[in-house]
Amino acid sequence: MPLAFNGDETALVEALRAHHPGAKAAFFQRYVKLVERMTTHVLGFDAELADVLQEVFAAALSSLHTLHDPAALEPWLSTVAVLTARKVLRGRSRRAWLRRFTDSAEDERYEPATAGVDVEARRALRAVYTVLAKLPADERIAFALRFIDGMELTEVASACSVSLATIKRRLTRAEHRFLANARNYPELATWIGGSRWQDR
Amino acid sequence: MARPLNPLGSLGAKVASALADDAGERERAIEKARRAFAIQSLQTQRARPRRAAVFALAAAAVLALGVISFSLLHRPAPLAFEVDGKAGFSQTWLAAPSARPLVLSFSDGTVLDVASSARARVLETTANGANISLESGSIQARVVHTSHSAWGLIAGPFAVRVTGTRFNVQWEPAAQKFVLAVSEGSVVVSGSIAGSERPVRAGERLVASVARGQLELTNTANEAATNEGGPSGVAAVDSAGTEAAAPPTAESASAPSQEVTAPRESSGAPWRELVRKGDLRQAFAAAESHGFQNACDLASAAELLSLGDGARLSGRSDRAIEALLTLRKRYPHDSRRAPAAFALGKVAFDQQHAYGQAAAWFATCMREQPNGPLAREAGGRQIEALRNAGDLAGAEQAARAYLSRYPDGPHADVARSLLK
Repeated sequence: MPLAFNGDETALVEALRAHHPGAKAAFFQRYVKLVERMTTHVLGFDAELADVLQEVFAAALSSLHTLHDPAALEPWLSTVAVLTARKVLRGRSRRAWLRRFTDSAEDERYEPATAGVDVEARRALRAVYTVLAKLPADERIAFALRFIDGMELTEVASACSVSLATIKRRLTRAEHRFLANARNYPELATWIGGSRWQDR
Repeated sequence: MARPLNPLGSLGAKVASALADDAGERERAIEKARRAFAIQSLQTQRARPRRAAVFALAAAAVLALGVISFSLLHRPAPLAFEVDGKAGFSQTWLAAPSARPLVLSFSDGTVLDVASSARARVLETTANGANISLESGSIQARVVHTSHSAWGLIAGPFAVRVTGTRFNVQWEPAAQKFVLAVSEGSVVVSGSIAGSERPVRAGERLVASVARGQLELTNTANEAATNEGGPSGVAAVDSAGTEAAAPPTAESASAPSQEVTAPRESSGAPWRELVRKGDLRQAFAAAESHGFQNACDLASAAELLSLGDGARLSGRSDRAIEALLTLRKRYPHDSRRAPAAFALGKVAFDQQHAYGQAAAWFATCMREQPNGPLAREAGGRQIEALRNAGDLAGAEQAARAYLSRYPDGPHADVARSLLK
């Protein structure tokens, strides 16, 4: 039976490497909210969310030997989550040509039936992810982590395993592409139309 | 976290908030991933050579002793529980026999009766509560209330947030029917057709049919004003100590000694029926078409709260404010004043982008019901509002207060990022 685990990251990593019977469940429990939040912010509502989450944790376990500083478990896991999301996005992009042969209704992003929620927010959400789907995977991820997840620039750079200068350039391209496409969506006009911004 | 204070940052916050509305679906995905990961881990373990497994087990046992010792010194232990008098373990599937309920007794005194033939699972326990999954059947809950209580229950697509109440919850997966009856205290239901943050209070019964898309909230007890015992008519102030424009100048000074009872029109008013069914947007539309002010004049406290929600969901912030302020003025002792303050905060934040005002309303909600079902959410939203208003000092103060009460709350990450 799994033991309750309340140690720090170093102890958890040691337990994982020692194949402690409760360590994997504890690892999942401790970080699933973080991973799920990041993944959902990058991918949007996704019918395959459970599969993606499992893939992140499985990838983390198989690549645990690349974690050199156990105290940095959380940012390292964020990087694993980003790499997994990137792999998912690129895989879907490669299969995009199949959509020509499928019913377009089947291809709609899964969105739970939740009557009574904020209509304006739902419309904006749908439009945002439609626009994000037009961005290259790396730019989409950087945009989502910065503006939806709310990460600092340094955190985005760390999660994407690139330098601060690189992530700034990537975000600049992402913003330009996003804004250029977003003009076609009236539900985003409140945020896009006629507004200036300074900070990134 | 620090989103840029620009239109894209505001848009991102809106999107994140909309994504967070569907906690039930996301929890189900997490649970499904947990089970799959556990099975995968088990299969990996079994494939390992036996000799290595023996050494690993010995090393793990030594490590486990060290880990447990460390944890005892540094963290409050999660609640323990028993199942029919025997030690219980998280993640274990609980199947009540057909002839009698299964009794879960937690170390804080909370008792859950899993009804006969019902199926459930204790997903996890924490120092302040536990998360339960009701897979089918019903549970009768008697949750011990403390200032730090944090209990959650998932039933199908619905999530119930509990702070300390007595209630019965039922989920029928085949019929996709959810029933929740609260006899003491209150809970907050979210997910599927319940939407986000729908409170259910003592004496109320919520019935939701996912298959038919129907929701009904009924009062099983007489509706009556209740004395909260907390401050009323106290002016809300923002972090700068100045009085916020929105709240209570009209509600300050002495509260009226008697509550004004609104005369009731016939119970057959269309908007009333729609409120009873929980169809809030249609209820607002019906009230608007027949005279919204007239509807507000005749509405009860519960109806005003519903009309306010309906207006907010329909994008009519002006009507939402009208209904919610009417509730607060006319029913100064009603328990719905605090939820109305919370809703006013959401209007200010999400629709008007008036973050200073939003922060003041969230503070009002917490002040009026510090242990209410919305206190934790109000605390988290207040942090975001103060940050977006540019009041970083106020946001840091709010973040410290939040973490002291809710170290594992949904906004804990936001709070910690401000304090880095």
